Amino acid sequence: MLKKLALTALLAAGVASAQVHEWEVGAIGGYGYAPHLTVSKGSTSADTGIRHGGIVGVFAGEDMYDYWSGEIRYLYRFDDLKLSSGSIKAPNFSAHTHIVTADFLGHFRPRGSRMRPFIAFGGGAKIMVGSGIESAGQPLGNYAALTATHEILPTADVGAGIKWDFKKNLRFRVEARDYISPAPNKVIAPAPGASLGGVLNDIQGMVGFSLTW
Amino acid sequence: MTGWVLMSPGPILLADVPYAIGNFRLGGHAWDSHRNLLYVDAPVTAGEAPVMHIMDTDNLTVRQRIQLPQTISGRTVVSSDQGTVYAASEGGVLVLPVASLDPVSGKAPRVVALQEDIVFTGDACNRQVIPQYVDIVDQGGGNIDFKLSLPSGTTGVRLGQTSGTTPAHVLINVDPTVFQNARGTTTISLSITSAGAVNLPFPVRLVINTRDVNQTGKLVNVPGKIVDIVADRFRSRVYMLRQDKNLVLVYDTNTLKEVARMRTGNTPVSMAITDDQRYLIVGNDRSHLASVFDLETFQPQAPILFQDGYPRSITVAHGGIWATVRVVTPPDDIVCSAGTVSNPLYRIDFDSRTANAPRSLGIYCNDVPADSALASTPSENYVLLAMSSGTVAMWDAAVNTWVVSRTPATAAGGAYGAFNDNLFLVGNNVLDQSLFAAATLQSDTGTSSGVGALGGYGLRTTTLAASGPGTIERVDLTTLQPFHGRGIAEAPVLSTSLNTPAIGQIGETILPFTRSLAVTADQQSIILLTQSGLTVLASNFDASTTIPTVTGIVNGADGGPGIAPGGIALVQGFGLAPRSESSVGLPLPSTLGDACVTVGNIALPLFRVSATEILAQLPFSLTGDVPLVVRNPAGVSNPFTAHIQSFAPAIFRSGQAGDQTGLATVIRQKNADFVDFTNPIHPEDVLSIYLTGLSQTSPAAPFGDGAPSDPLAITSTTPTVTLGSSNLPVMFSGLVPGEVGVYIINVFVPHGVAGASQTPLTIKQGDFSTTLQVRVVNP
Repeated sequence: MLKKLALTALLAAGVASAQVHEWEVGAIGGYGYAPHLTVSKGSTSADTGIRHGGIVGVFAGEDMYDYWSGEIRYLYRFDDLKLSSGSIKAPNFSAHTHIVTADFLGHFRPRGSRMRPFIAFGGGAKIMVGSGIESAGQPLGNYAALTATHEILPTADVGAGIKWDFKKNLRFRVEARDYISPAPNKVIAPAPGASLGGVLNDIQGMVGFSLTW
Repeated sequence: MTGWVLMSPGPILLADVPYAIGNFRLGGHAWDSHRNLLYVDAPVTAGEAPVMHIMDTDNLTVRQRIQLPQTISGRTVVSSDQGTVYAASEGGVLVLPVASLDPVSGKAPRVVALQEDIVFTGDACNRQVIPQYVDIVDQGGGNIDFKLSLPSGTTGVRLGQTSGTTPAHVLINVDPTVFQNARGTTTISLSITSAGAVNLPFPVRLVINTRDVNQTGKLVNVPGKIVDIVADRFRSRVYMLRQDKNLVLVYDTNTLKEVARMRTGNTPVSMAITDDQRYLIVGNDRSHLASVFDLETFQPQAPILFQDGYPRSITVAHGGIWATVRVVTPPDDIVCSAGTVSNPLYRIDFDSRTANAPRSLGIYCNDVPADSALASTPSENYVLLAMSSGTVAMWDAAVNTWVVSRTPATAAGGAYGAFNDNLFLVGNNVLDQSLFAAATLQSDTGTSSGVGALGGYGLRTTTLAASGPGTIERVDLTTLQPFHGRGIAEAPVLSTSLNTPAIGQIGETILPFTRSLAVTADQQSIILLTQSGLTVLASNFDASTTIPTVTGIVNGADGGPGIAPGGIALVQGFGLAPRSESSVGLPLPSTLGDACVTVGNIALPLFRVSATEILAQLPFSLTGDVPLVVRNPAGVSNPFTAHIQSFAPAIFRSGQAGDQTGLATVIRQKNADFVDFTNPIHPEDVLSIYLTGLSQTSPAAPFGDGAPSDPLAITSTTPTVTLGSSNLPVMFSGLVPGEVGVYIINVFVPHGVAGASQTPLTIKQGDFSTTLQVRVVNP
């Protein structure tokens, strides 16, 4: 089993395989919900993180086994940064995230079934890019600074969904994933004396279409 | 224009040319509609050197005086292209290429000084020679000869050059020790002549003040002949009449800066604000119209017509606006026991904008000489009329009539006005409500100039001589005794000091009475018309003071102990200055808030003073241990040893952003915002660092004045700037143009700089450095 998983991972990483399997290439999009992070300073705190926003992306995969397959995907997440405490809010700070992951998909039905529920898990990286306009004296700057820079975060993801081959060579899927990464500390930089911990969840609901052959 | 009179349809006399001889065989004028100018040759005396005045067409304000080869003596016309004036003259036809006199594009050589006044301020701390400059230029843009001269016998003033070619930046050195006994302001006229220029340049006024430390007040230079001042009761403004330019100057009483100017009729004499505080009325002695201005918009409104003469002194009370008039054609229905009255008092109907002379003033004959003056009580319930003959009269708004007239003195002049509804001041005489002399105030301090009321007390200013100090004192309105007299920095204006030889046909009408004191709307300041413009006093000018004590000196940027030549320093102590005050404009004064500071016997230019702090610039010439002394009216501090380093770079902490204050003045040029935790430094940023303590520059910067802009003053020793372990290339290091003691270093942030939330930014010059922790983000 471990050997199979390792092989699938190699496939997901884009290593070509000499075996003939079912291939899939598609586009995916949806909406992401990100619970806020807490930045603490002494006995006070502020909420920060990324805003909820849309996602678009592409993916490619291969059904190597009856129940297991592998995928790689790229997602572009629209996710301006946020920082607030009580009624005080920092101005909207433009940002986005690139997400690249490689995943294993475990299906509940074998290859060839029209409807295939699945679970997914994997890992990769997020590249958070702050692109807003910085300014001195930013509100709540005593907690954190929203910064025009980028930051690479390791990412794990878990999720579940269902695939539906509604036509020959055409597949529709609905899925939910949670991309989990450590809290950023460059794009959202905690102020001296403040701490920003925990993990950054980004729960995404997506639909996708793909070509299969 | 008819003869020497500017008329409007009606006909209404808008303005007349001052001092014209009235001989219509001499002189002439032409109207340049293209430039909206009048070219007027109106001889004052037969046989005088012919001079053409270029005047504005609305109020005959003299812009320039042009020498003519011959007197115009007949018809004068402008060519169709508005480029040439042809005039019949004594010798034939005079051809004047007036296009070459165009204020903007004219190429005719015309020598002028760019400054009207040059101010030299000495004081108890500053007895060194004071350098100032006058700029002589040719308005035609060429290089033309000029000569400068001072009145014969002038001492203590040395001109860097007495002749030259335009453009010239002429040094004038004044030795204050020559003038120090005056303890006031000496004015000297610097004459400009030019053989090659076509104009007769206006002289420059050299204003030399050598106040003593016990004289109070902040001097604000206002060029020109200022003849009246009125404070706005609700707005933070004072209005001043500049008679030689036919202007009302509006000054903000907080900033002491001019905020507006309004064009009056010719030769304005006095002002009054209407009952509703909406309009300002100005009496003009060379116009049959009193000007009216909307004080919200500063726009002229329909004027008030005086059909019979020229309005002078105007006052407003409840239900009545009165004006003294220089009557030309008196109404024939005003008859007194001595016969027909030639010069009555007029009452203004503001709604119809007309003025008429009542047949009598109550039970009194309406015969009021034109040099009389009117003033209302602060409540506007009564009007005081003061005549130079010594006669005074009072109008009671409640009964709408003149109720008292009396002659308590044989002659009168100087200050006139009301302390309240019951007490008036004319000259040195305090009059009660019956206009009997209730008291005579002391005259040891000279002639009275201004009168007012503040905080339940009267105020009065006096002076013995125009070039000497003035005195302000409170008047106890119960005992009618003056008290708490204090010397003021320069003498208040007197009718004698305002009466100066006329220049050409610039009108001058000076009444024997003066109004030179105004209390601001917030009751916090007293503004006096004085010899060089304004003197501003705090309302507590007579507060007791203590001998100053100096406890320390730090730099004025980050408050650190390092101070350096040319840098900004903060003197700390107590009892330093009797009152808090900040400087207005440049050069910085060496006395402020009645305090001055010396370091090594060099007076320091002062930014601001208070009881506990004095912010000043240090001399460029001193290093090492030098004695620092503060003087105020109570005495002199013990010397405090100040250690002046060769260099002492210190970054200002004056930045403000959002609700943050005290930010270091390090600016990212990318967003022109202060560097702080939320605006970190990035690679490829250009940073501007504002600091003090970088010492000498090349060229040397003027002490206490704005740094030059061309060429820029570059630090003689270039500092090094590091960010963490990275060296930042210095793009510029020098003084900020126009600033005093403020330096700027521009640096480039290279790619290799390491990111961190706390990175040391260090500026080092010689063996001295300063370090600031900043956030750096890379990338």
